[in-house]
Amino acid sequence: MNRFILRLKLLLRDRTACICYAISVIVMFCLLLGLSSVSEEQSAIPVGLVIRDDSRETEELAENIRKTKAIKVIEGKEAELKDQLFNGYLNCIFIIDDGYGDKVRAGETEDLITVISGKDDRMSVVISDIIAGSMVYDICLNKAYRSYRSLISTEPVPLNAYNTYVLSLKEDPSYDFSFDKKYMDPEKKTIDESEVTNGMIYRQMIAGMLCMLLCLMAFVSCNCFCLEYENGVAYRLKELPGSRIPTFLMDFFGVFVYTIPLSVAAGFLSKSVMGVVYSLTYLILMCLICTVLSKSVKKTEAYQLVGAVLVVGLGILGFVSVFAELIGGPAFLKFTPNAIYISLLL
Amino acid sequence: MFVKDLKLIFSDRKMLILLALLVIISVAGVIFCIKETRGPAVRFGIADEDQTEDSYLLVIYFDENEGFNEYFKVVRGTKKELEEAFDRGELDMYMVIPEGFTRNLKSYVNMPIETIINNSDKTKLELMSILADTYSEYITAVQINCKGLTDMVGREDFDSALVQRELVLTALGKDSFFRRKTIDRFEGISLVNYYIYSGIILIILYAGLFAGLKSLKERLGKAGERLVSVGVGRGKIFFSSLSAFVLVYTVIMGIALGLIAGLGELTVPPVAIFFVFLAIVVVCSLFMLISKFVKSVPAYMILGNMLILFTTIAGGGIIPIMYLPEGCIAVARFTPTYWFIKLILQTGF
Repeated sequence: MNRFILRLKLLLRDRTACICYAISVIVMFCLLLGLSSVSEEQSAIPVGLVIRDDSRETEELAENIRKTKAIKVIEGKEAELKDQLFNGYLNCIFIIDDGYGDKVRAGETEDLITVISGKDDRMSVVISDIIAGSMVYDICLNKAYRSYRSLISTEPVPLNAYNTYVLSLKEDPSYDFSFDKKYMDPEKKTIDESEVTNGMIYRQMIAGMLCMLLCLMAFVSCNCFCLEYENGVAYRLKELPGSRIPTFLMDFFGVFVYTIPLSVAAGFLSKSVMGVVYSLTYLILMCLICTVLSKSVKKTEAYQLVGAVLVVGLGILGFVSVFAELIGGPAFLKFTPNAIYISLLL
Repeated sequence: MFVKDLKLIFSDRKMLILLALLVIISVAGVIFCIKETRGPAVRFGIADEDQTEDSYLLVIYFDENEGFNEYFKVVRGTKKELEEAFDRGELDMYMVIPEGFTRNLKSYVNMPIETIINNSDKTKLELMSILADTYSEYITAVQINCKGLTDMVGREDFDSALVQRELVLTALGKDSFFRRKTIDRFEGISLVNYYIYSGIILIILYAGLFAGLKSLKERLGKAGERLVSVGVGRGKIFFSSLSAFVLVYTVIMGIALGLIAGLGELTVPPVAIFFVFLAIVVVCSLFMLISKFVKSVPAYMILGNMLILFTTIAGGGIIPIMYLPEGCIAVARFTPTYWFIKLILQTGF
């Protein structure tokens, strides 16, 4: 017990380190809190939109695209949007070409919109599918209206009135087709009724960052053991009576207690008591690994190198696990500590 | 002095072995990621219980659409087969076109297509849910326009089947709505490439931290003061050490990128190597300067590591730049991560 108190005192005595610890954690939390507050809005895929046509159809299409939750529309001129595309601010650019309205009214369906993307970009295909959802109604309406005009012998109803009638059908729930979506976990065989929101990936990323912060804190806190080996204190302490395992445990416990405020803050960010429990469990694991690592490596530089590989490696595996299945990555990533923490926290 | 600094770096053999291991692991990881992430990502099952010409059209659309198949691997089967495959975790989602679907659609009776989505992967769940909603819009558009046409024509002998078929084909042929222009010199922002760039700058940041740590330990051991006392200028000490680290790191990164290019079938343009060199110079200078102002190794370790995490998060190393809020982008402009990714994106690997 004495050793534990001494270890804690030693850690808290380095005021510069404590101030750095506090400032760094506060800054990181402000950053994560800021990102967390905009998760819904920022999760939408940013696409550029250039409007070169001024017809009613174009206006309606642009309005529908703007309303699509999955997409964040940035409007502008082609040159400036291309610039943003090259700088990584946009995924792709959609250009509603001049004559879009005329083409739709004429029942044409070829090359209505130009899509500009990188040569290997696959996401723009999915975004096109989403945008096509906003175009299909107008295209079908005009095709059907042309058929209507050719089918009747009397004076046809004007397009506007025809459109008003068709739109009134849309209000009727029996015509509003929708897929009977069920979200199911194949392992638990349970159906989840909750609605899917836009910010899930974003929140997973934030949980991943939080996890990396905890791992990093455990890692830097255990550096003290290396320094003790370097200045010979650790070898002197070995000469004192006492078994190795309790000594190791007291050292580990001292470092763990030093990092506890961080897990409480992590729980606050996750807005749940269980978040504190998960963070504490994760910290125990990381403090244990880092204590073993620092006592085995013994040199600060080597510990920094191995520890960086550990923190970055686990962090990257955790982040990749978020996208693993989406980008076709290996399934084992789900079982890394960071991936488990991310899935538990959400 | 520069040669001696180089010798000093190479004198620690254990560190060199660790460094070599790190390079090998990083290169292997990058190549593994590039090779593993090729091919469609979502496994999508479709069962046709309706067995009509129109329902077949829908199945064919999913199965043979080139654009769709880039992202979705389509598996056709019976409802039972798909259920079993889903339970085994072999499918991410499946749709069942119910018996009588086309007949009901033609008589304007809403008969939903059962869609089961695996909710264990939240990332895919979001995408699949959005796409299912989009496809609902296609079907609604066809259905209400057929009904509208039938009502407006108002003739009992009018059969809307032909028009309905035309509208269905129009909706399914929506790929023709778009004229695609790809920019050859721009690779596009695939997540894998983005995270490779992010990983490279992260390694450079840690390399810089390591250079700073060496510099700090020299300062704490009064090595610098000893050299000053024998007439070596402080500037010379700093730049000699900086140059040695920059040279070693550039060579190592050059070899690593060369291996990635050779084994991972990626093209690494020379200008990308120049950006890597530039990033090494900036990052090493930054950390070596920080080490001049910090009093202890633990404080440097906390400050340095947190600085790396901060610049990585705020600079778009974790959440891609395009998804960062504007306030964050304003901060990102002060980080090396942001500039490195931005420059590399324009060059592409």
